[in-house]
Amino acid sequence: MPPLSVWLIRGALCSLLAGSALGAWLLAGEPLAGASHPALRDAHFTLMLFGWLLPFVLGTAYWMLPRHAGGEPRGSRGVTRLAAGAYAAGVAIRLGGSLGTGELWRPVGMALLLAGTAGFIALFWTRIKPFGAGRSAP
Amino acid sequence: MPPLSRAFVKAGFVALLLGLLAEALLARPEALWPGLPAAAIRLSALHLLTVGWLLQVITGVAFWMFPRHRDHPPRGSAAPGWAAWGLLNLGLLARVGGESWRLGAGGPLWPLQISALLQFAAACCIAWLLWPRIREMAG
Repeated sequence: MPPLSVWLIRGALCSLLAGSALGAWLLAGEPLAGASHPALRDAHFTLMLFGWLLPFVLGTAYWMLPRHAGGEPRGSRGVTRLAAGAYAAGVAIRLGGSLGTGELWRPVGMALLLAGTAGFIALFWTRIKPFGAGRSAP
Repeated sequence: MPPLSRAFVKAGFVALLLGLLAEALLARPEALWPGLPAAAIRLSALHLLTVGWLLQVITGVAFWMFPRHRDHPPRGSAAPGWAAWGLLNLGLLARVGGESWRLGAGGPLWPLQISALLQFAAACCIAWLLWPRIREMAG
C-alpha cells in the first residue's frame, strides 16, 4: 500500500470516528436534533461523506487499480500531491464553514474538494484498464 | 473470503434490501397506510443505506483485501470485527425501531440513545480492526 493510501485511509477512519461520535450525540441528545442543530448535522454529513467514505474509496483505488507499465506506476506525483492537498484543504475548510467560521468559506471548501476529486479521477482514468495491459510480452 | 467478511457483506446486502424497501414505502400512494411516519422512514432508509450497506460492505471487503501480516494470524484478530458486526446491526435495529416508535407513536428516547452508543462503539471496533492493516508494503 503506497504512503498516500495509508494517509488517506487512516484519515478516513479518524473521520469515521469523529463523524459517528457527532452522529451519536445528535441522535442521543435530541431525536430530531437536525432541526435545531443544522450546523452540527452539516458537519456530520461532511465528516461521513467527504471525510470518511470518499477518501477511503480514493485511497483504496490509488493503491489497487492496475499500475502503468512504464514511468511513474501510479501516475504523476505532482498531480497526486496537488489533488491530495486540494482535497484535504477542501474537507477542512468545508468543515470549518459548517461549524461557523463563515458561510463564505463553504463554497471555497467545495471548490477545493471538487478540484482534488477531479485530480484523482484524472489520475485513475488511464489506470482503469485490464491488468497487464501495456506491458510487453516476455 | 474469511467468515467475518462474509458476515459483513451479507448483512450489508440485507440492509440494502431493507433500505430500498423503506424508500419504496416512501414512494407509496398517499392513501396507502397514511399513518406511517414518513420522517422516521426517511431517516431509517438513509442510515440503512449508508451505515447498514456501505459501511458494512466496505469493512468486510477491507478485512478481506487489506495487506496481511506476515506473522500468524495474517488478518489479525477478528474479535473486534465480530464485536463491530453485532454492535452495528443491533444499533441499526434499535435505530429503525426506535425512530419509528418515537415519531410514529410518541415512544421514548432511550432506544435511540442505546442505538447511538452501539453504533459509535461499532465504529471504534472497526477502526481497531482495520488500523493495523493500513500500512505500507512493497509494490
